[in-house]
Amino acid sequence: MTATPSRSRLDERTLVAGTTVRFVQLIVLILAASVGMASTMVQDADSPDSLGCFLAAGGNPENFSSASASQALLPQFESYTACEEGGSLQLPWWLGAVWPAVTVIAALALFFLIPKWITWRRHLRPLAEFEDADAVRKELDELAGLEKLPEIMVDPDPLRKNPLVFGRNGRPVVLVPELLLRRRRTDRTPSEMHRAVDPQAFKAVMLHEFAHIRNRDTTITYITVALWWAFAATVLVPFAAWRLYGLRFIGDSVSAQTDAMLLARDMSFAIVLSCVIYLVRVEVLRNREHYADLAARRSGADLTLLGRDGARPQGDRRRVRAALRRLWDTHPRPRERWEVLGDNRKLFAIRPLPILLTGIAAILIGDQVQAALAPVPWPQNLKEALVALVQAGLITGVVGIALWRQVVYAAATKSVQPSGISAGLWLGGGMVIAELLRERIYDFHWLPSHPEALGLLVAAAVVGCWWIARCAAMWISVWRAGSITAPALLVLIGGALALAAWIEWWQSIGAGYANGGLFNSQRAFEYVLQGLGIEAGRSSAVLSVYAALIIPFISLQLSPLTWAAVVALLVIPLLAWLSKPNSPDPLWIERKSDVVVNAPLPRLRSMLSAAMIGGAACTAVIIAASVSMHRQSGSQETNATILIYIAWSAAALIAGAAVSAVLVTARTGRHRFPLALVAALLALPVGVAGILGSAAADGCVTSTSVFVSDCGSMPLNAIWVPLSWLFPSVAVAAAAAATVVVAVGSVMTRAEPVPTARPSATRGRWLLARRLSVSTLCIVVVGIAVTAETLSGSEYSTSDPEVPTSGIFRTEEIPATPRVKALQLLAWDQYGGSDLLDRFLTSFEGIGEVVTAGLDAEPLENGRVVVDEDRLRPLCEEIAQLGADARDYFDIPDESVQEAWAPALDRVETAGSICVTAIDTGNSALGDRALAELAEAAELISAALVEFEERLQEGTSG
Amino acid sequence: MCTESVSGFRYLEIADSDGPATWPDSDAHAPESVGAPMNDDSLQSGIPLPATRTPISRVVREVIEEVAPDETPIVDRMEGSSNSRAVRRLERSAKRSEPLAFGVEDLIPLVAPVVWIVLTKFLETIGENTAQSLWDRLLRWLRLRRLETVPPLTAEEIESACGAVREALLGKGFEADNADRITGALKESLRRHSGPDELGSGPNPD
Repeated sequence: MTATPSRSRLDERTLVAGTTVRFVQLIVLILAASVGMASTMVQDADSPDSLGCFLAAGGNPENFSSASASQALLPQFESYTACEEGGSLQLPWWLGAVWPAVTVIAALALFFLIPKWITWRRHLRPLAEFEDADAVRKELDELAGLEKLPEIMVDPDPLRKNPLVFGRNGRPVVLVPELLLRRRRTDRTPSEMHRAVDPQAFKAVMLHEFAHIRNRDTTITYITVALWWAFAATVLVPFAAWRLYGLRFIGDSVSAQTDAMLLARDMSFAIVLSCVIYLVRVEVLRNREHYADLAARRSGADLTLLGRDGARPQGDRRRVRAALRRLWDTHPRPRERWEVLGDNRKLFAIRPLPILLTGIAAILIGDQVQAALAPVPWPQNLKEALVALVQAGLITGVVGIALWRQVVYAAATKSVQPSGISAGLWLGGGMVIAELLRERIYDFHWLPSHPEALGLLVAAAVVGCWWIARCAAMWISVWRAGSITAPALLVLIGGALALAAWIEWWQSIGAGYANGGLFNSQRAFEYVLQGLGIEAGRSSAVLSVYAALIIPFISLQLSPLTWAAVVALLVIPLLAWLSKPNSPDPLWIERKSDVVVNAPLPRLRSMLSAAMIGGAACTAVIIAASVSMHRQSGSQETNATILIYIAWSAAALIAGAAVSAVLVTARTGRHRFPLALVAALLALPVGVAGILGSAAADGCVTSTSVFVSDCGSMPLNAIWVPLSWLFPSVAVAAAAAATVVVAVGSVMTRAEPVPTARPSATRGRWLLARRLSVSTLCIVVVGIAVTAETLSGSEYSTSDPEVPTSGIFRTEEIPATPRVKALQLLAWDQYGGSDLLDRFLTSFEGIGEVVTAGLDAEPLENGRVVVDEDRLRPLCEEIAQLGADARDYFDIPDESVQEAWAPALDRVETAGSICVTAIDTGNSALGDRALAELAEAAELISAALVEFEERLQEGTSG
Repeated sequence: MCTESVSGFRYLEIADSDGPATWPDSDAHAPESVGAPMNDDSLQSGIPLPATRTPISRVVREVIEEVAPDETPIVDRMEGSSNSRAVRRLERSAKRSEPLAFGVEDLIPLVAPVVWIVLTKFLETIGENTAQSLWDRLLRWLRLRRLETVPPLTAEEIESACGAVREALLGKGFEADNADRITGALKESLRRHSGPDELGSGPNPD
């Protein structure tokens, strides 16, 4: 008998639940956190002086940007490295990985010890010792339906009521409370207060536990338990202790405020990370409980006991408190479980918490893996791509599967198709939270300089989820085979590639913008002009726009994953046309009520025609631009003309793509987003052909001639090479334009309702033609991408090494406050300045003593003083060396003090070398000069020190 | 009334005697603290107990032995623990959240935890017995220190305590008749043990 009626309209196993990916995400998160936090500790121990060296070099932590950091460090990089190495323990780079290895070993040990611990701690007894053992064993054996009955242990604890599974998949152990065994009967003596556990309830409870075993939940659950405790013991506690230990030094430091902020951020990071890990774990476990309930019911369990309405908290505050407490529970409320048994729609719905946590986890994982990979000697772009792929894979695995399930349910129940936008908002929100907490080197503020740039994270997450949801809906409408897994995997891989390209861009460029901007566009543009041999300083409206956009535009194609992303956006929806539109009902879905309507795709012809029209529009724009340029011809040199022409070409291609997107949006009711992207991207090669055709015809029609006056004499390579180089950026911008078009179109018009009629049959001949066209298109697109990606490494890397690039970094000249100035001076003093001064003073006094001793001694016949050369020489050598060492050390981080310090160093060096020469040659005149130089140097140093003290006072007195 | 009066007098008798052997009602489970300035629990937990009050555990034991004797092992298990620790263990066991367990604590309703926890919480709300110092209040707020003994109670307070326990029992799925039986036993026990500290003749008239 199954007493729990089901109104579910779709089998929850239609598509994978996605919990395995979430367990993997959890494990990666814990491992990444272990590696990252351990690396941070190792690096701190290895280079405890990085902040001090940064300040000593003149870095301004209160006006941080990567650019200002670069500006401070690059000119004195060798001094900075030497400063860091000064306090370094020279630990090997792999030490950061040893610590996590300890975590993993501890986790493995715990994993195998947990069953023994539970058995020992709870005084468990084998079932055989129980009075009714044989009958119970027989009953459980029949219930379990497993090949072999797992080991059964009895818990004598009079307070324990719930059975439990522990151990591992290969050797599960079922703990049965003695209380449950004793109470399982139907009769009840009148004196007994309690409800007995009737056989049905006992059966249901045990079937639930056996369902966990059948669902293979045991190993993965206890691995995460073990990892969590191992992480807490070996990483989290030492990390917190390390940071708290740092508190000791805050009080007596001038940089107390900065140190306290860094400490607070580190501690917040550790707390949020721990909470995320814990919450992800219990959220996944809660989900597994639903699946165990449903599996138990399929085995005949009567789970009515879940429906008994327990006491509910009264009052808003109590309800909120109870809801917050439930977040940390490993089980859903019984009432919620009962509702899911009645209608499993919740298992297909998007739940905000896991999505939000995924957003946070993705950024934290990226951060930690990057920290861990920092010392690994691999190429930087390879490391960045790898990190981005891991992040994107986990996001798509969790959020993408959740979106797919939501869309599948909507399709099967003919509900409103989800857009994926709410999931995107939660995901983006999580990423923003994590972005605010992540470690930013030398950045001592809670908010980045441009927090509005974080909106890009949310926008990208929304667009990504939208695309996955719409692609899923499209594939669901055409897929007829026995399992929906294949198209789901395809879409998720495509989504992951696009997301990885985006994340890589964000990590290397976008986050830089948020933190104060990376580039000086004007300078970068001049650099491009210089590279092309164009005279700098030419004024043109197009060139001005070009200057403003060039860096962000080119940055779009910096990721090696850009091509892969573009191909995925194009090919994955296109492949849907390979399906047979008039096939019978889908086999992958086990319907309980409504039939999933076979919703047709729009005609491929219509898509291709939209792309052709977009290409034509692009050609029209470039011809119009040529006419305009022809009117201004003569005022530009050839390279500048080419540059303007290329700028117009890029604009024309993006405009043409937008036109295609408009057409698809207007014509197509359903699936308009992925299809508009396809049409927009397909319009690009058509547009490129139009542009090249227009360029080839340069000189043939007078009014459109831009470069040459003879028809057919234009070398196409002059246009093709830069255009093909810019193509990935153009493609990304075109996709962005198409997205905006569809978004606007979707707001203005409503999508068509789900069709209720079966589509008309497509005849075999047309189907074959369609399949051939689609296959050819896909092969061509992939071929172009692979070729372009292979060539891009070699063809365009020949930049002119003579062109200066340093000015490209944007430098916001905001002077350091007196407090920071004081910090910089103190750091300069602490990390080497005071040593230099001590050395000078010691040598100076030593020379003074030697000379005084000579004066006190008997003078020579000629009246000259005899000094002890053996004592004097090392002192003079030290003075000479001191000058060189001082030059190798940082400049004093204050312009006016440095102005006084630099000539003093000249004098010191001169005095030292003259002194050595005087001793070598026995030239007493030189000796006198050396002493005079030395006295001069001492005066200059003294003057510099007075100024140094004044600056320091200004900063510390305020 | 008579019962309470005698009960209160008996405390004093026992305080003058040598120990629990003279406990008239139950020689097996006489409260160690009664009549002694500080009991073993209080020595263990460091919490001084009023010299002449009955531990809450004693009341719970009386109720359980009368109405649900099969739960005596639960009370036995708490033997030797302070009330703070006992309540903490009971609360923890009720909130136990273990991965891969069935996860429904109401699967088997038990009398002892309900009576023990609800009674302790209720008695703590009575103004006269709330912790006085800030430190005590903080510990109580953090659930690190609980009321250890039954304070003097008025008849109304006993009624209220039994009402709170009854409500909780019904919430846990006990039938009304059974809940009444349990609260009846509780009422009797509280009447016996809630007299004033001094030679009293019954519950505090306040």
